[in-house]
Amino acid sequence: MSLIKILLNGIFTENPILMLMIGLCPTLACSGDAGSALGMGLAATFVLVCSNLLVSMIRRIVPSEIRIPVFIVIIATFVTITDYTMQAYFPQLATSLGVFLPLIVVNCIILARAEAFAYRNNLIRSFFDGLGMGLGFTLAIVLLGIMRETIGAGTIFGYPLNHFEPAAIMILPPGAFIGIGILISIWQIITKKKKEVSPCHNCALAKICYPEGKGEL
Amino acid sequence: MKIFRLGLLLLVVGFISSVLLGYVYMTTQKIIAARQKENLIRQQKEIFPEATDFSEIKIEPNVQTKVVRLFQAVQQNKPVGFIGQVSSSGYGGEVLVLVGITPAGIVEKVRILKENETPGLGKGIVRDDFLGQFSGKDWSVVKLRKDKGEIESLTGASRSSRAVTGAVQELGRYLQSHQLILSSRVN
Amino acid sequence: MNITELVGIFFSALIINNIILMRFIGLCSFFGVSDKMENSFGMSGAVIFVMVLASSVTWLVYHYLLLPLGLVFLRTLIFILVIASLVQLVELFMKKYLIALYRALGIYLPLITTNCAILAVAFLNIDYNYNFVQMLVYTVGVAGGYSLAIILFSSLRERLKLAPVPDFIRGYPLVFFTAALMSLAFMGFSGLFGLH
Repeated sequence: MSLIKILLNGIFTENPILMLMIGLCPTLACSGDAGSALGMGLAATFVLVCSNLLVSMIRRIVPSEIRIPVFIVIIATFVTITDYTMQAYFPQLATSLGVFLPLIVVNCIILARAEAFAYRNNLIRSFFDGLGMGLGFTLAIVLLGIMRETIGAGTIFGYPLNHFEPAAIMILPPGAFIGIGILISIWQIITKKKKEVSPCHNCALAKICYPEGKGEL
Repeated sequence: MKIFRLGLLLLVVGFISSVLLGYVYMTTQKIIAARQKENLIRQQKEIFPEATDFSEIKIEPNVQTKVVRLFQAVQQNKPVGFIGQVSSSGYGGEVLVLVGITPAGIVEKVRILKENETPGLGKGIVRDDFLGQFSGKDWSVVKLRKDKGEIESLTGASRSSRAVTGAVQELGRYLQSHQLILSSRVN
Repeated sequence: MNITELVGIFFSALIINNIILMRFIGLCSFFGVSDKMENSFGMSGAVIFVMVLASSVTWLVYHYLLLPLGLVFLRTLIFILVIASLVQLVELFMKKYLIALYRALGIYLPLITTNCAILAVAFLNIDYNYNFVQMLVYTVGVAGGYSLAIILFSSLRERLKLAPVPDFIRGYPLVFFTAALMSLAFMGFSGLFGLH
């Protein structure tokens, strides 16, 4: 696949949230306003790109048996770096993301791409894959964030929209579920694809959970 | 044996990672601490802008109080007032209130530092048209009208409103019981 | 620390701030496992078991190892490694000594490693400054809340498959809308017993 195709794959064809349905926790939790959504998207993209790069760099040195623990160490390291850097330079964003910032370490997307792509591809391709998946994730979460903030609070990235009586439910928990449901149905209409797969389908640990080869329960 | 080699490799990776993280941690902690100091002074100046110096008063560890931190504001050695960070219980969780009280027991200003109230209802406690009511009143009458006080509650958000008045009451009681302000009132 | 406080922590974790429906933690497994009721029961059992074990171990590691040694910044790294290893050990142990239990819960165990709920609870126990007893009560509450949500939800999902809805809603969007309604229902618990 050409590099541009790899990039577009992550954003559209295999958009982690809208197509593969992985990485839902931070999407729903951090999309109460567009600013937090963007922050989470960029933080996760940063960790994803760095992790893909490093995994790709050391893919020939790391024996297959310990690859998953090594991936976890690498991802955890970048997550911690992002966590503390954000606390130092963007404290309000760090507070609004809360526990989900360190929780990026178990974001299925990152481990899945390390295992499925970065471990088997060179640096440049891994970089574009990480970037594509990260941008796809960011796109979905920001769309949801904009939807929830506009309808739920009448503002967009903090700027108030006039003549608007917001429906507070959209920024409350049910609104997140409603929002993602709407987003995915629109996406399914546009792409005319039906995803009847279970979330395990694209998880990096699927082969560990189901060595018989089934990705579903 | 292979297991040892693999384990050793994993240990090396972990060690490198820890060293890197330690470095990042030390660098960022300095920035975070500096910013927290800045924020504190900014908050204190907002309550008593004329003060020139703020000193922290230690809260006695055995005392059961919701006052988290206490400061005294002075202007050229003349005490101007007391600032307390008080933890109160609102509808959606903890409400951290910053209360300024003069040595005469009058509320100077109230600010909300942290809250998790319902948007459209309890969140209104951060607004000036609610908090403005507190300034200039004696702390003992800072209660909701339905609690025989002088504060008008937010419509449909009495729990959130009480969290703020409760915080003021808590600081006033603490200051009074520690003889830091005049105690010429019955409460 | 008194009983009222502990009861408050428990119910807050169980229903008022339900980890899945209010806090969105543990969603991947929630949607993945809830399509069949037997799976939900199995997953709940595994989660309760692993969550309490993992929270206890990470709590001890944090308070008796990381904190005294000033290694707080290694929290994320150490916690996830501890949880991953713990799950492996539990699986090996079960295979050898608790065969019946292994047959019931075994397949769900590896799923739990990337289950954000386990790691999240480990973090939250530290962030909320809980002592050991409070930590246990909170963790059991969260695990109970997870089980409650997933079991209730799976009973709904079996009917969703036959629901007459337009094509573009069928599948995951419908599942999400149902979860929205559940979340809305659970919001009604807010303020119960004067808790938040």
